[in-house]
Amino acid sequence: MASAKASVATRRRARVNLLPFFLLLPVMVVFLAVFAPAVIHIFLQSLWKFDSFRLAIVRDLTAANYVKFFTDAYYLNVLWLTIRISLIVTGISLVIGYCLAYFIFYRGGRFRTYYVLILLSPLLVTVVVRAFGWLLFLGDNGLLAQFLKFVLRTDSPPRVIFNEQGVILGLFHVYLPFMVLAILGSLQRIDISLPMAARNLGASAYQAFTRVTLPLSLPGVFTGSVLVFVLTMGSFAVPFLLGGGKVPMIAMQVYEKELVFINWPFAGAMGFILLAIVGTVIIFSGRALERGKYGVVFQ
Amino acid sequence: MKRKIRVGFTVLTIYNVIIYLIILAPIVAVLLASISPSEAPVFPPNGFTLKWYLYAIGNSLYMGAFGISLVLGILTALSATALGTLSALALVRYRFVGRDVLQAFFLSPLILPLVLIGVALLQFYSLVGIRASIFTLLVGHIIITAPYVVRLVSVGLAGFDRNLELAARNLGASAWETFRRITLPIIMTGVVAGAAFAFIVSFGDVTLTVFITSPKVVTLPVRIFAYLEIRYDTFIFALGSMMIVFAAIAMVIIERAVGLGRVFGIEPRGR
Repeated sequence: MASAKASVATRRRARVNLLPFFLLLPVMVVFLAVFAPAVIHIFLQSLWKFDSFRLAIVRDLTAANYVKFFTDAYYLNVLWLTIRISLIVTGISLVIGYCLAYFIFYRGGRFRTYYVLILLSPLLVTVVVRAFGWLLFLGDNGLLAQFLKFVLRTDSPPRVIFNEQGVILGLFHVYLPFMVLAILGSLQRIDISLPMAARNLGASAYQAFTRVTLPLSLPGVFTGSVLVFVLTMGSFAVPFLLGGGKVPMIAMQVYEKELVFINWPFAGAMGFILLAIVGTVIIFSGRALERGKYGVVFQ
Repeated sequence: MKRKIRVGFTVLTIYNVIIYLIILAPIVAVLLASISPSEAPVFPPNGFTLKWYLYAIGNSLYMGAFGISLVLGILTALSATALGTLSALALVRYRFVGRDVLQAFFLSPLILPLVLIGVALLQFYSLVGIRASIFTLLVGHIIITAPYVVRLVSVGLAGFDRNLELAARNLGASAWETFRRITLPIIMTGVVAGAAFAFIVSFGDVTLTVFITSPKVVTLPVRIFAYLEIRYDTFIFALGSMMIVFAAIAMVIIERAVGLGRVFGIEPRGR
């Protein structure tokens, strides 16, 4: 009797242990049959040679593609440009996004949800359409050019598109919602009675903000910054459309090397260099976040 | 003192109005520019016409791309949601060897740059000898959207009271009935939110799709992207407007079904 019961229990446990495997099976098929081999293959390929005369890949193991990236002045410049633009975009979104999140949370009142929805609505429209909307304002016959022509009394006003500024504006517009969402998330988690207590105890509004609210919202600031930085580093369509070919960010270089010059090993190597930078940022920030008990990035 | 606060408030309000104008500017501009009769795009519009819309609707190249985007978006939403929900159930509910590794593996496409995934898939397809079709696009889109579903459903499962299921089983419900009548309805918001997110990402993606597309199977964003590389005229704004209107309709449907706030995770505690 007792042994029969035990065998039923073991059989049930064995069956239960197989269930998660069956649940994961469909996703594993896609990820193990396509995703994992594709990524491994492209990594191996990035260690192969490319014969630029015969336009063929030679299967010799070499780190030449990586060495070339870090020794060629052009690619070092691409890397620096990408990092610089990402830092600038992160900084601008942080300052503007924080004010916006603060306003939505503390002054939004019953319209708070609507403010957030308007902020997020551009995310539903493909990035291509959002980028070319800017051409209407910033293009050569756009509103801004006409305004500058009028104000500066010149026929060739300074351009703010098809250069770095245009790309920064476009990227800021695309990634601002992510920053605001992250900061809003941490503002929501602050116990509202804490800044109120500070005020009650004699702190000025400014003091209550800098000493209580701001420090408590830092996890959101941190998460948002990492998110925007990582997304900007890998951005492709905006620098392509608003950079006018003069702002070669790294993802665009991958595209060009892959599809125009068909130097696949080098394109793959650049992809992995990008991943290495992004991954390092995420891992280090993840550690910092854990130390501060602030949970996971992307949450 | 009070006056000072009011001034500060006014400044903050004006500031936010300006930022909101900037946020909406390109989208409003695209909508308005599309009704302009001139071939060169202008804003504000110099007249009213719907000819660019008629031209777009009559153009089989672009309507075909629109159809492909739509079908691909729906297929991606359905399959990514099914796969993602099943794996979220396994990852949240069960403890087994390698669970953390698998979870990190399934969420990794969120961290990998899309260009890298694009290059990797293109190379892999050509290595294996698979021709580009809507199915190769679908696999790519599942890879980049399933992680979102896994996360959104996991959040719903984490706050789940298992006693409800135990009670159902105690009262005689089968395992399937319990899932169908108890588990699924409770995690439904997360599932629908995941599907909506998957559709939005799939419908708008350029960065991944541009690599794995072929001349015969092109999505609308990639088609617009390719057009903009060569030409820039009012016609493309009519196409852009159609995508915006479509996104707005999708937004209303999602808002009615689950609430957009949930899709973007801004209302975790419900209304």
